[in-house]
Amino acid sequence: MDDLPDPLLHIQNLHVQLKSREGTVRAVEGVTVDIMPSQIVGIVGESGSGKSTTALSVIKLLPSTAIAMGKIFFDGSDLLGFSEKQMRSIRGSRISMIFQDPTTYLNPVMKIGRQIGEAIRLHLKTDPKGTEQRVINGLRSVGIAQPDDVAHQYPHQLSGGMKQRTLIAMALSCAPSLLIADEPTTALDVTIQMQILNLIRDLVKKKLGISVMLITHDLGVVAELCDRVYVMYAGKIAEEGKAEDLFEKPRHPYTSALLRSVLSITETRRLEAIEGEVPNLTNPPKGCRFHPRCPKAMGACHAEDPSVHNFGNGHKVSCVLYQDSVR
Amino acid sequence: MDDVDLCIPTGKIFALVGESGCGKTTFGRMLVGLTSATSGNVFFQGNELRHCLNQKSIRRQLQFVFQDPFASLNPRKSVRETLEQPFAVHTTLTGKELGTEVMNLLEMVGLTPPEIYEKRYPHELSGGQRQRVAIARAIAVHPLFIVADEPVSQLDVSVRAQILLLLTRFQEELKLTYLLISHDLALVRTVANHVAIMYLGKILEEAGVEEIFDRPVHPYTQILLDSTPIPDPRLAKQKQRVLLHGDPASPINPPSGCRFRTRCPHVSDRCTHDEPVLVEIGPNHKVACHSCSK
Repeated sequence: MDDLPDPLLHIQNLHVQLKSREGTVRAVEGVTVDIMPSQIVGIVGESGSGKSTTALSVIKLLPSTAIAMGKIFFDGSDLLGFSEKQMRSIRGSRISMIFQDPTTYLNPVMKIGRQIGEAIRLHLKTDPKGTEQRVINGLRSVGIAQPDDVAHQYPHQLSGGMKQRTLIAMALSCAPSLLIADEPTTALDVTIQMQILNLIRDLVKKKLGISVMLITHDLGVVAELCDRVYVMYAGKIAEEGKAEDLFEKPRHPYTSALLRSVLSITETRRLEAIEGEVPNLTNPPKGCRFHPRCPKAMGACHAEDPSVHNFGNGHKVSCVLYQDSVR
Repeated sequence: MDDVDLCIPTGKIFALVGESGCGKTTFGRMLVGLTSATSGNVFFQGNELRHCLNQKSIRRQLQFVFQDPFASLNPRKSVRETLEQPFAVHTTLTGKELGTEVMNLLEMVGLTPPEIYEKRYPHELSGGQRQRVAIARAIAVHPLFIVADEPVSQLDVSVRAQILLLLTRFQEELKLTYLLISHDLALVRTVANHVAIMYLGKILEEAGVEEIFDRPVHPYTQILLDSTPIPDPRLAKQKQRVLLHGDPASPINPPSGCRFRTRCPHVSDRCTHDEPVLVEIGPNHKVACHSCSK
């Protein structure tokens, strides 16, 4: 990281433990993520990979029983040391978040304009006129054709795509530097999904200074949008790199298997399944967590945690296969 | 749904594709008698379905695999009890024979060793395992036809292929015919033989799988294909796309003429009052559109 600018977000060796009835779940184990200004970074994984937990740690919305250890530097200061009051001033203004199901995150008995205006009034201390102006501009910037009408409507009067646009407008209303998007298009139809992906891409490329942390299980969405990708499996990062490198030369057996299981409309692919199931994190497999499902597993995988091998250009893989060449 | 005419050939996987609210699930439910049509007929092997639905022998031929394996299995029944049900309804098997059948089923769907899984309850199974149980239940009494409604959309990516492989294997081994309901075109391209595209209760285009992906004709089909993410960053970021604007019109009060005209990039005057019908434009390829059926 010699000549590179400082990252906007630097998550360093994050560990998160959640309490559940079956015991302690080590949801995130030693995750390090960097997000540069104006970058779209994808965190890909299946259920239980720890991708959402990582995102929620950044904005400190984990359940109160959760324990997060490590460092999360945002613009130079460690968020994990922040008080709830300090976090409140950051959430929605410097860092904001959009979620999978837009319906759940809109208040059904409050008009759209008032919901968006609330954050603006709170963080920017604007007068009613100024607030309204920003609400209308915000709705227009996310491609809503009649912002004045929509501002006076209730959530149930809008379609799913419109609701997600509204939430994006709300998230961007105070010009944050980081947008966390947790499966933002999973609940939407394909045609609407592509509209929202294009919208996010345009916002990042045209409005300088916004970075996006995109949490998703869908490698197609990652290919469309992301500059850099982290692939998570069972709470750890298996592989990270530039999107192009990772899709063209996946090094980790999990990444390769995942890419082979992605179906495409441009060619007829043979179905290739990854055997087995995602592990239960109250009792994760010893050694490399992917070894019970890995086609290339060997003796060493059962015993030791693989160390990270750097292929250059930020392409890093945590797998025993490359260990000899490291040292 | 309005004026839908479809033929599902024996032994094939017929995919019905459309966005939410287009009527694809309603159509699937109608084919197995879970919903009845306001008007029109469904013929199954040449017999009119509504007259023979009260015959058990017909009902056993028609099975359904639902989208959400968390909702489709009774949480208070063990896997064994769930799988015994179809035999209790449709056969006279009891005791040992019944037990053997259940064990065989579990092995067929890859829940091995079956002695462990037969005792489990749904909450002790993962999503993929539950969907295997649902498939086992559907194939238990040797049906001819299965409606699979978004069978993998709720599963993890790495588990999806396992379930799809299971479904395609049974297509060959058990000579099954499927109606696959899906919104996922990549999945359809991989497993289906024949595809119909539905919009607001109407079939807009219908063709063999290669034909529809290589030579899509209807503007809506083209837009659907353009809107599907491409899992290759270089191609994805270069691709020029025609995207859809606006939201679908209401099915309660659909637009006059062509139902897609309010969002169509090639709309003309004729589309407003004259509703296009499905016209054969090539071998096994039909399309309902004024601008492209000539």
